[in-house]
Amino acid sequence: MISVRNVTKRFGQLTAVNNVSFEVKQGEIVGFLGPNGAGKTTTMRMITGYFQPDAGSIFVDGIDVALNPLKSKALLGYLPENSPMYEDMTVKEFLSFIMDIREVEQRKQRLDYVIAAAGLESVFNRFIWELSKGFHQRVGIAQALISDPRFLVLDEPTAGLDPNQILEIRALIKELGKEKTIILSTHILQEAEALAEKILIIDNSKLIAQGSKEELKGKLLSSNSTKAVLRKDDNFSKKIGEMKGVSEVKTRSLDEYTEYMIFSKGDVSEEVFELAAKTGAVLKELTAESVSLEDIFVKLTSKGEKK
Amino acid sequence: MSKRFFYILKRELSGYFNSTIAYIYITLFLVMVNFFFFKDFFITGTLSMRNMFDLTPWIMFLFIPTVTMRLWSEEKRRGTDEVLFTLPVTEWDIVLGKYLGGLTFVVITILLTINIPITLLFLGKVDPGPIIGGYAGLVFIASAFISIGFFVSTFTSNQIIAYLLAAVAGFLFFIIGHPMLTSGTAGFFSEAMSYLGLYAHFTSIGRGVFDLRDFIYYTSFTAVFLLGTHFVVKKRY
Ligand SMILES: Nc1ncnc2c1ncn2[C@@H]1O[C@H](COP(=O)(O)OP(=O)(O)O)[C@@H](O)[C@H]1O
Ligand SMILES: [Mg+2]
Repeated sequence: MISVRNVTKRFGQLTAVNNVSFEVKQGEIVGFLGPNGAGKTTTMRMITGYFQPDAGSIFVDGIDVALNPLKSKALLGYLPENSPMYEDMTVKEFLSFIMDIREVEQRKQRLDYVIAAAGLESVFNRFIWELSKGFHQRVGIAQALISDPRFLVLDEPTAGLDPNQILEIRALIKELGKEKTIILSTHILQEAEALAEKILIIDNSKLIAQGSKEELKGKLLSSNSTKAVLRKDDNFSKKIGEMKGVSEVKTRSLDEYTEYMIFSKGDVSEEVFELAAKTGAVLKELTAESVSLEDIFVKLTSKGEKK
Repeated sequence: MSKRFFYILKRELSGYFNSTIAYIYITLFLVMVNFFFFKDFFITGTLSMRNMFDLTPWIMFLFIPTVTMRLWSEEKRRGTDEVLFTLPVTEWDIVLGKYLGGLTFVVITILLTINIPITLLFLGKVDPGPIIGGYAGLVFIASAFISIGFFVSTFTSNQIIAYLLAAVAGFLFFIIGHPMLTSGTAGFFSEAMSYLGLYAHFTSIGRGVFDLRDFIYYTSFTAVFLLGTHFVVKKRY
């Protein structure tokens, strides 16, 4: 289990990670989702021991990362953002170097496995600087896997890859997830949705929601949204705000019509219909919106507000 | 510290030998040392390496920053320091591995001047004592230069700046003990400065008197800058 407890990291005036707590349980794939600059990389760097938190603590399999970094680092495989590597080495030399330091036993077997898993057969003896972005990323993943770590920390594992490569890497991560505990970051909702069983949403340095996909949907469903488009009518406008169960109404003017977004506890579409009939307002359109993760992401993060 | 520092050392060395530009620097170094040695040798004809040991520190002064400029700046620029710091190695493994990698590379380069003592041996009877002492002295100077260059390279991800900082820092340590600066000052002060500066220690090597004082000087010099490097690297954020 990876346990992050009340962790804060500042860079001068800027708080990059603000009092963040979460757990990644044994065997889970957790998606760390948030817009660029939210604090994902910084959090991962603290888990892997590159940065030290200013406050809070992190445990990997019960080992305090601050007190026993050698042990925690030995348990983790890490793909840093953009997978930096020694470009002047060949793929083989680089992987051997990592195996040396990680004191990998049965080197031949591990090497054969990661070469096959990451599809590196054709570039094994090439220099890293010669590789395409896709192969570069795969070497980074191979490097993270080579010591057969129980925990994997993958920072934007599919960034910069073309669609086919993305599907390949996702399939690999899914496969690895069967036996490993994985936390992966992404700023793309579909990626988190495709890979993760549990999603953490971080925005502007704070963790703002976490749970399984179903839990996150459930949270938002308990506050339904209904869209109604009516011919402009002051009476309806006034009454809809006072309706039982309605928490918030947003309006948008569309020429002679007004669009209402009605947020409520439970489905109120029938009541909205009745109210329109009672007030004599002309109802053009009425939809009970179903909630997607996209809505949640957009609703929760600042990125969404700007859209 | 663990034996893992050895793998860092190995990787550092392979980095030098994988880089074409390193061979150019080695060649320049060897050409300069040989040129200046044989230029005087053909005039004086003395079977001694004294003038080689006199002038090689000056050439190292320009050469060693080419080695140290990549020790840390390159890691920072490429982001590979993140790889190192997230592997199960300590900061000391990293600092000592890199320092010893740089030192090994420079020692190999220094040993490539072996053609000079061999030439002397062919020409007549030479006293091996001062030659061995002189070479030992060069290794200690190299160690001091590497440690200070390593230290300054932790402050920049730009190799050219790292080179210049290393050369300037080396020059400052040379100049503080120079008689030009210390002659007008009081006895104790001038002695202290001259002990702290590199100048006096350079010249004693040339004279073939590499003594305990020099040994302590270069070793502490190296230790101070390695501690400084470790401090900066450990406090990375
Ligand atoms: N080394 C650093 N020094 C200063 N600020 C940093 C550093 N690393 C990240 N930041 C800042 O911290 C915030 C979070 O960054 P990051 O963790 O990289 O976000 P994400 O990975 O979610 O895109 C950003 O505002 C970023 O500019
Ligand atoms: Mg990031």
